[in-house]
This record gives sequence, C-alpha cells and structure tokens, in this order.
Amino acid sequence: MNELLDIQYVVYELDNERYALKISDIYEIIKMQKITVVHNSKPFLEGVINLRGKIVPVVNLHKRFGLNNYSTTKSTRIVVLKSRDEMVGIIVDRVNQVIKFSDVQPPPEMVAGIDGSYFEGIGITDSGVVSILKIDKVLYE
Amino acid sequence: MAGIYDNPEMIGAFLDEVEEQLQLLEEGILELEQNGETPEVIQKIFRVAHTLKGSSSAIGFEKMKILTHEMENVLDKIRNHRLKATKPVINILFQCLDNLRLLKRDFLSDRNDIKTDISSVLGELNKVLSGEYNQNENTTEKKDIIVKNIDQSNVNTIFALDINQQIQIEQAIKAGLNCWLCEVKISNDSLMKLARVYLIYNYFNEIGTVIGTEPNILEIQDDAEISKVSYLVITQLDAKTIETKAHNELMDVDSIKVYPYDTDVLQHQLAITENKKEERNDSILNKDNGIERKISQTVRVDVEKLEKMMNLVGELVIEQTRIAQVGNALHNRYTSDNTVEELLEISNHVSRIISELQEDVMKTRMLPIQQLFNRFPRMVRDLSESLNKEVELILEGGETEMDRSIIEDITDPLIHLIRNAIDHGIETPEKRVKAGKTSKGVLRISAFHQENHVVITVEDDGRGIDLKKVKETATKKQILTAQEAESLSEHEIINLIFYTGFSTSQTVTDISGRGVGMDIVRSRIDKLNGIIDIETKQGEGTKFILKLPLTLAILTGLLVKINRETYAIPMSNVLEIVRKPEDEIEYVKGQAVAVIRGKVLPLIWLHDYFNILRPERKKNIFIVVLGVAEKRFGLVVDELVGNQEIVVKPLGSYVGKVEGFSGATILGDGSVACILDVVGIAKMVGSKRVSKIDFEQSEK
Repeated sequence: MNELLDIQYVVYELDNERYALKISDIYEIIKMQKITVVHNSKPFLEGVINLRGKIVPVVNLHKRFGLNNYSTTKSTRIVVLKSRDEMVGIIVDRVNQVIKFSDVQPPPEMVAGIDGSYFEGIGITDSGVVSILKIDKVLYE
Repeated sequence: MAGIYDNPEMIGAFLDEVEEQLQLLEEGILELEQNGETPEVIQKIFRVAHTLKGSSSAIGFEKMKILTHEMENVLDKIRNHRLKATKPVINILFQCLDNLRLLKRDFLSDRNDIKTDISSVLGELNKVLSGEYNQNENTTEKKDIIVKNIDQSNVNTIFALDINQQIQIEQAIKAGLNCWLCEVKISNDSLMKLARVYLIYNYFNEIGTVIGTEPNILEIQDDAEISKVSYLVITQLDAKTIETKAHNELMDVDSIKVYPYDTDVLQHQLAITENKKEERNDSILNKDNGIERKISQTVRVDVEKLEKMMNLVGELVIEQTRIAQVGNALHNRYTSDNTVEELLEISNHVSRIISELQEDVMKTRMLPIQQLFNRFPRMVRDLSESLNKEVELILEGGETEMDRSIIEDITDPLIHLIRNAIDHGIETPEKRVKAGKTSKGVLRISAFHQENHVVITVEDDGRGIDLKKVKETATKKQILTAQEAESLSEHEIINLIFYTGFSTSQTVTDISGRGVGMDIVRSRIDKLNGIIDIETKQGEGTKFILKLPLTLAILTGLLVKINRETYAIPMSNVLEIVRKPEDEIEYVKGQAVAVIRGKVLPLIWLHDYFNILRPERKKNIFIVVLGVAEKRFGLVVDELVGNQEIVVKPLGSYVGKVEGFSGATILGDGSVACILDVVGIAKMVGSKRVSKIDFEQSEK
C-alpha cells in the first residue's frame, strides 16, 4: 500500500461520507448543469451533458451505491474523469480538498454499507478516514 | 517484403492508383467490346496494363506485376495487328480485370498473404499468346504469304517493324553500317531447332545487331515449325563475308542467303509511321494537357482529415447558434444599445460565413455518383449474358454529387436492385416479343437532387411484381396467415418482399433467389435514414425510388418536445406533421392507429416506452408522420419546436447503444438533445410493450 502514499488525492463527499480519487484520474471539476436524460439506458446513468462540444455521460453514484439520492445544492459538482479512455462525469455533493494520506489500509468487507471490493483502500488523514474508490470497477461492473 | 513497402502513404497512393486504373481498364474493355477494335482503345487498355505493371513492381506486388505483364504481351500483339480482339479474347481481358480486382482486395486485407490464384487466367493469356484462339487461320495465311514472298527470293515487307526498330535501322544506315536480311535454312536433321535458332541469333548479335527475326523466334513454340528463319542484322560486314563466315562457323545449317534490306520500303514505312506518330503525339499531348490541368487542381486528402474538419465546422455551427441566442437576449434587455445592434449584425454575418463554410466542407466530401454508375455497365452486361436477356442500360444524372460514405453504403443495395430487375423484372426476349414489347428490355437508373435529398431510381420495363404470387409465397412461407394476407393493402403486399428469406423465385441461382437481397437493401437504407418507395404495374415494370440524405454528419432536424424534454428527428424521415383531434384515434387489436390521407398509420407514444405519463388529454394531438425505408408510422409528440441544423454526435461507448436513440446533438442553448432513431422506433410498432398500454388506454 506504500505506493499509494505519495499520490495526491481529491477528496469529495457523497451523502456525508468522504471518498477520494487519484488526482491523475480527474480531468476536470465543473458545476452542476442541466443533464439530459437518456431513457432506457443504464439504471444509474443520470444522463449526458455538453462539455465544450463533447457529449459526456454523467453517472449518479448515489444511485449506484444505493445511498440517499442527492439534491442539487450550491456545492454539488460534476467530477469528470478519464476512465478507459472515455470521459465520464460523476455527481458528488461537494469537493473538499486535495491531500496525501499518511497511511493507507486495505479495505474492510463493507465500507459505509458498500461492498469493500469497490475500494482501493482506506486512507488515513489527521481529520479521519477517507475511502479510495476503484473507479473503473464502480463505473463498469 | 522490405520495409520501404510498408510506408502507408505509398501503399495508399498505390491502392488509389490501382482503383483508378482498374476503372479505366473496365471502361476500355467495355468500349472495345461495344465499338470494336480501334488503335485508341487498345492503346488505352495497354497504357493501363503498363501503368499497373510499373506501380505494382515498384511496390513489390509480384502477382499483379506478372499478370499485367502477360496482359501487356497480349495487348501488344493486338496493337501490332498480330492478334484480333475477338470475343474470347475480350472475355479473357475481363477475366484479367476480375483477377486484378481480387488481387487488389487481397492486397488490402493482407499484403503478405495474397490468396487469389492467377494461374488459370495466366494460362488463358498464354493460350492467346500462342495463338490458340483466332490466330490460327491468320498465321497460316500469313505464313503462306511469307513463303511465297521468300520464293520470290527477296522480301522486305515481311518484317513488321515498330517505330523504334525503324529508327534504329535508319540511324545505322546513316552511320555507314549495312543492313542485311539473312535467310537461314535450318537443316532438317537438326535435333533442337529452336535452340539452334537461338544460337544463330546470338551469333549474329556478335557480329552485329539483330533488329528482328521472322518468324519471331521468341514466339516459336514448336520445333517442327522451323525450317527457315530470316534475321534482320545491322553490321559493318558486307554480305559476302557474312555468308561465308556464317556458313563455316554455324552448324546444322543448310544454306545462308544474305540480301540487302530495301531501305526505300523502310523510308516509306518510316514516313507513314512518323506521320502517325506525330498525330498520336498530338493527341497524347492534348490528353496529357487535360490530365495535367486536372491533377494540378486536385489534392488527395485523407478522409479522416475531412471528417475532423466536418466536426469542427459542426462545433462552429453550434456555437454560432449560441452567440445568436445570447445576442437576441441582450437585444431584448438593452433595446437602445448600439453595441448590441452591432453584435447582432456581426453574429448574422458570421453565421452566413459559417453556413457557407459548412456547405463547402460538405462538398469536399461529395463525389459524383458517376463513380458508382461506372460499375454497372459491366455488371449488366455479364448478368444479361448469363441470363440470356437483352438489356439496355440507361444511366442518368451521374454528375449528382453525394457524400462519399453514402455512396459506399448504397453500392450493395443498388447492385441487388439491378440484379433483381434483370433476373426477375425483365423477361426473356421471346416473352417480351409475345407481350408486345421490344425484345430489348430497358433498365434505367437515375440520380437527382430533390431539396435536401438525393433520389435514386431503378426502373425496369419488365413484368412487374405479381402481387398474387407475393401473397401466396408469404402465406406459404408462414410470414403471415392467409386471413391476414387478405386484409393487406396493395402497398403492404409489395412491402412483403423486404422480408428476410422472402423470394418468389422457384429456383436458387447464383444471381438471386435466396431472398436476402431485398433484406440487405432495406437494412442499408434504414441505416442511412433513407426512404424506399416501390411503384409497380403488372406487365409494365417496376420502379424503386430511394430517397437518401445528402450527408450524414450534419443534418436538418425537427426538434420536438416529449415530456418537456427536447428531441431531434432527422428531417429526412419526416414526411409530414398533422394535428388530429384525440377522438379520431382508433384502436386495432390494441394498437393505436390514425387515418391520415387515406392511409392507416400506427401511432406511437414514446411516453409509454420511456415509462413517463402521457400528457393531460388535449383536444388535438400532434402527429409527426415518419418514414423509414418502406415503413410509415406516426409519432405523437407534445410540442413542436422547429427545425434546425444539427450535428450528429455519438453518445459514446460508455452509454453504449440505447434503443430508440441514434446519437445526440447540442442545441443552441448548450444543452444536449437526443436524436431519435427512427428505425429503432419503427420496430416498436406492434411490440407488446407499447401496444399493451395502448390497449389498457382503449379499455378505459
């Protein structure tokens, strides 16, 4: 887990829980905008947005993990990531900070009610623990 | 193969050239067949074979080089009037063409694994070369003349010299050399006459230069034929010396006679050919000029680059719509501000420029359909020949331009339609005469622009579609029950021919009868968002009308609202928009239908499909009548927004293929609208999911 220590992470919130993604996976963070529904597609696909002329799908992680659904607030953001060479946006309730972890533990079987296999590990910070997501697994499986 | 051949640019250029040359070759051979042999057409074909030989050997494509080389040999013979371009020869040339096509295809798929076997066609070519076809009579005749001439002791005219040889002789004489005609009689006891003849050839080459031999020793196949060979030799030696020298030094020779070669005849010949040459040079020069001018005006561009340009222009179109919208909003807010006025003016100007740019970029992707039409004469010829039918092919509107990718996509459908027209449509000459028609059937293919579409029609004057037979076959193949068949309209019956596996033909031939052709036609036209109409009259003929969009990347879309969400529908599929009172909608077996212009159309509420509530009942509903390939149906929408140029963008691989949508586009306000996939929606007609809800509604 030591190789995970030197990496910078972006910490964001979903339903009052803190999660993290590698900064290198993140393409851009944008404000919430109008999302166009694509009926009859994947159940947790919120829809598509226009990111400077590109059509980018937006995934609802709340739905994906069975959390309380989000309500759009001033701090709601769309985090646009590059996953398998494709841009995908995820909706988060808030983006907090960029940090490095002092220690990373392997994930337990369940993390905040979510299957542990969706996580890379649990990062330890001064202000508590942050779950590091395996984003490819979350998006594609 | 060496690395230099792997340069993709070189290979690309090579393939382009091959394609071009093959096209010329086909034209040439067809011309040869139709108009007979002329020096121009032979020259044209020869030039193609020669060019192909050059470029294929440059790229290291051995098989093609060999084949074109052999073709060159045959053509050379025709050119020198030593072979006549008769039917079998033309057929072999066609075979060569087909083989070259196959070679090109193999080369394209895997350069290191050329599967096509050219040995059979090479064999045929060799047969031609050795004179197995028409040459037989000619050569014997010629030989008689030769023998006669030789009997008259001295003949100069037997040498058919080409221009280079004549010039060579002329120069030799000017340089003070002698030109002798050495007639060598080979002894009958000689065991290997051919080898002997070669040895003599080499011998003469040592003491001088052999210009030519008669008969051509390179073409002699059979030892027995040889008795007397004449060599035309340029040398410093005089006749007497040669005679004695050769007599002493050569074996297996009965006699050697040396005559002076009559240079007067030569002069005469030279003068004629020179005139001819000048003429030809003139014409070649003119042609070359034409070609050169064309070349300097065109540039080969990778299609991918054009595609990229198209995308960029698409983005410009979107952003421009946004600027215009913001401008209008500002104008409403600050009515008296001059700067805003100016902004609107600029915005208008820019939008004009962009639309012009869009048109031009679109045009760069356009090609005249002639390129596709060029393939048909050959096909029709082969088909009508194998089916013993007489067909006159009329091609119209070859200059009509359309998107490159669309031309590619309609090639197969058109081929199937032509095959069908010749196989099923046009009758045999006897039957035609009996029916009071001319024995030659007419197949007319035309293309033209109509508003934002290209229309292509394939029309024959054959027997037409037998509706009764179609109905019978459909029930026999259990596509529908006899009862259902009875209730079908004429239009619906005709459309049965698009069913997979449907064929009224009793026998399966290699041309048609398997019942897949029309299915291919339909699915391709579907894919292109095109429309098919069929007009048929029994005994008078059938006409297929294909209506296709001009281009695929940017299209005019009709924007509609369903449940406050905006959707775009390709305008090429929209037939009309009608407003109908809700109570005029009827239900047939749970499927909602409306009668529009006398036609019963099934109706679709996408609300049901999307699992959203239908809007509050209003007095009138909007129905967008859509057509895709042969299908027609009505889509009920909540609101009409208007039409607009839309740029088709894929939904991306993450979203994947979603039934009902073909992509997305970005609207003027920057939001995304999904583009409805009319083909997918057409499939929903009659599907349980939609009709069940309809049924429940009708129960209420």
